[in-house]
Amino acid sequence: MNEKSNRNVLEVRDLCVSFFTDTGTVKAVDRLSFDLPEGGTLGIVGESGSGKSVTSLAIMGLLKGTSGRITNGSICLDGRNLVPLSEEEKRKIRGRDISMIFQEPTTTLDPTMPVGIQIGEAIRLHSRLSKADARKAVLELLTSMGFSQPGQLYSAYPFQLSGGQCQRIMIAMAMSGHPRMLIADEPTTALDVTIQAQILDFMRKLKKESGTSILLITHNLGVVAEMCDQVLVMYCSRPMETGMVKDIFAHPMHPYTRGLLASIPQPGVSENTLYCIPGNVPDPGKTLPGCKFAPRCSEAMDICRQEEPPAFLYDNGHKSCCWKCSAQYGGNAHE
Amino acid sequence: MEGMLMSEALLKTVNLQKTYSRKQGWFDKPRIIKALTGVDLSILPGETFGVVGESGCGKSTLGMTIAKLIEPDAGEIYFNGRNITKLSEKEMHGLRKSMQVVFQDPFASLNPRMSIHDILAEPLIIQKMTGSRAETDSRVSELLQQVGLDMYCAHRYPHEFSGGQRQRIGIARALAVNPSLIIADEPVSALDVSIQAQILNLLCSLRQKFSLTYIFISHDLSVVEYISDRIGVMYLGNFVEISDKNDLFRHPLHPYTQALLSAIPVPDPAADRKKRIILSGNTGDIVKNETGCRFYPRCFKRMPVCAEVPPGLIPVSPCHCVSCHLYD
Amino acid sequence: MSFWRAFKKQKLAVIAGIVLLLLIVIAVFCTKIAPYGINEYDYSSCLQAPSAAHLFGTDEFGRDLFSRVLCGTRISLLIGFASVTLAALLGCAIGLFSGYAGGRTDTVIMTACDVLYAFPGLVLAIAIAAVLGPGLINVVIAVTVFRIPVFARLVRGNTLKLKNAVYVTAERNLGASKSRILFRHILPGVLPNIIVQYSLSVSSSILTSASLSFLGMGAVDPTPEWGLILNGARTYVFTNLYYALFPGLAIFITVLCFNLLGDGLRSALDPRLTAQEGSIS
Repeated sequence: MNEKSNRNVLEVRDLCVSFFTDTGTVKAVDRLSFDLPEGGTLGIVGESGSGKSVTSLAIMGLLKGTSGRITNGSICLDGRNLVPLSEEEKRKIRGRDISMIFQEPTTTLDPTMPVGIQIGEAIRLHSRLSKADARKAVLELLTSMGFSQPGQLYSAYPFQLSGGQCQRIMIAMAMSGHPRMLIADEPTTALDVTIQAQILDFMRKLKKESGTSILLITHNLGVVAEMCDQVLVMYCSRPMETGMVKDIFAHPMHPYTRGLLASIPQPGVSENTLYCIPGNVPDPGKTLPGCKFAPRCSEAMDICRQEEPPAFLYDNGHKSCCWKCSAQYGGNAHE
Repeated sequence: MEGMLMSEALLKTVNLQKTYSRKQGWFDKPRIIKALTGVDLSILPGETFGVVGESGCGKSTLGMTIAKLIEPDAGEIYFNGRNITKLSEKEMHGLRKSMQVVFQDPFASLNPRMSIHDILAEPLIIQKMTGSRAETDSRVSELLQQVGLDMYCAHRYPHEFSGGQRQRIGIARALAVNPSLIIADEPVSALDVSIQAQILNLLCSLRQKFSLTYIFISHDLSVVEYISDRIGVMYLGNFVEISDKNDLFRHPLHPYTQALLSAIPVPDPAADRKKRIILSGNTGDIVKNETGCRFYPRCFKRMPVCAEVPPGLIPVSPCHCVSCHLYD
Repeated sequence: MSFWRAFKKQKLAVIAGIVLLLLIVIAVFCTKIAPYGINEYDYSSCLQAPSAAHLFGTDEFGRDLFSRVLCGTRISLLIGFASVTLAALLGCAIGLFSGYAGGRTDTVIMTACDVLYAFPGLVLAIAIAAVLGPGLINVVIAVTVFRIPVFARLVRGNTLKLKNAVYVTAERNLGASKSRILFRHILPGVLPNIIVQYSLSVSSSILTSASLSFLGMGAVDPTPEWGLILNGARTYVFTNLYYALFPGLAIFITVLCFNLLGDGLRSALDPRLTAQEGSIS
């Protein structure tokens, strides 16, 4: 991981995704820009309604079939813009250049097929192996993933396996095409803490061996601190703060980030009352002018309620979309 | 703690057992799942007892069984000194006022077709707490205000509220009958982080205001640690360690507790991660012959005796017991 | 209410609903609207083609077909609503009880319903009508019996699902009695599905009763039941097509409208339910 190149595997600029429903248009992602460097791990953190999952679907081109559309912006994979591609071209990229794993591993696997056959299918989609060779490749893959009985696992059905095993198989399937990047959408949220530790360990080992870049989407700041080099905090479709994990956790600038970090109970730290961000996540359909976080922000100024802040750039790639931060720390407007 | 007189404990369970058998087709033997394997528990009035464990440990079953929503297969439950295990629904009716449950899923725990007013009036009507319509209305407003909601919410429907607000309504419903014990079954697990903190603070302030006793069930050790006085760690149907909160974190004794604590992802990139214990196997791996300690297959400190003899709950200090042969 | 908005979008269903309202108005006022009596013989104008005097023509006894078909509306709708309402009430009661009781009781009751359900509807109706004899009331009974299992199964399935809903457990926790839970919490949850099934069943019921009458096992002359009129028209189908055409059209339109309405209700109810009980994050 020390040989990080300066190249970016993924460059997203001004991404806007909207959902066109009968009750109106809802902006799920609003002017999102970020880079995923080669071999790096970027965590996108947000609560419900932040737009983090929609972002991953947009990158994979999986919005077709929903009422969501990319209305603006570009998503460049190794310099190639994915947005204007046809469905056929997007399909070629999925699984081979970009792979994705989802939250509920037991339901994302086909319940009617043994898992070995499913992994084999995934392999054969992106290589020209025969069925017999694919079976061998699957067994090799399972052994290299640390499964002790690959033969037994090959013919097992998803319902016979635990959540942790299914997730490891999903990750194996996702990595089988040796993709440039892996998108992991809340991969451990549905799993127990001890299994989560197993999976995160597994993902770290894989990453070290294959050098795949990872885009990790989660609401768990602890997972981000463990797995990621960089983090992007989203709130209500907007990016709030982004930067290196060390910087963000040590010196969070944005009031939302600071509020989030303060409201997580930490074992061994005794406090009388937990800090909590007042109010609720606003209705995505009802947009007010100004900064999206202003209604709940204890440090909101007048300008926050009138005009949306652009991203201000600070040291080391640390960006914060906040007027108060800019007033306090300076920073150059970056949008 | 274990030597407490029965009359001092608000709630006590003795050897509580619950087994589920699931049929697996016509010809296979039914699959037996031992959700509770002889749970002994004593809760003092005014304390908050946290029950923590992963999926399959039986913590939700324990909560539902104590609340008499699930009938135990064996064992006894004592509430305020009275044996309530074999009471019929009719006999339990009055007692329900004293024991209430707050459920996990804020979206499923409220009837989508009833207004908030009707949902909160239900306990008042069922338990005959109010006489007139006016009395009911004013009590509903009072309950809404106690949980931090506007009294105008009463005329709206659950789908108009967010998860955190619905959970507040669920808590208001539990409070309506003036209980002394509240069993909170994963009350914040389905909520966003920023809302979790709000609800935890609400539970803390209500506890103080109404002198409530809580049984707080969760899989999130950090949350349980924040709100509890004592914590019990469950694994596969029983407690493996029960301790005062501070002692549990400073000196976790049971290997499972140690692994659990080390597995929590800490939101601090500078934290020392070398001590992470990764357990092999899966939650739910049971010894084939069912004797001995249930944690044996995954235990990194196991000894030969662990496979043969199940350990009992051994008091290591006045406020700390552990179920492990390492401390025999 | 968002249900109405969703329903208004089902254009076909709205049109069907309006036509059905019209039919109900006709059914209520048919004796006032009809130009002739339903049993007004007029041997001087037998089997006449549609004209200004007789909009739908006349039958072999000179009776005005327009009046007869118009008055048949009342009979068909009455039979439809009466039989399905009875079937719905009985079926719901059985389903609620069976679903909530569970266990062996449930198995026994459902097996009985399955046996009844296994008979092809019309065959069962014929068998019952054969036992009871001709006449409209017996038609109603026959159609009711064959519809009960449909409602019972539907309600029982929904009850099973809702019985384990978290909010029902919450009610048990509060000390609610079984009957309170069934009628205040489970039944309202089942009601939307019952309404959809009701509409679809009315169409089926009207069709069955017309079939029974067509076969001579239902209404008796001079009752202007559409199926019975069709029975009379059989002999003249190649020479006087209009005789069979209008009662046939009446059956077709009524049945189609109830089906479209039922489909529209189902579509309108489903997204509303998922919007209420789910969440977008």
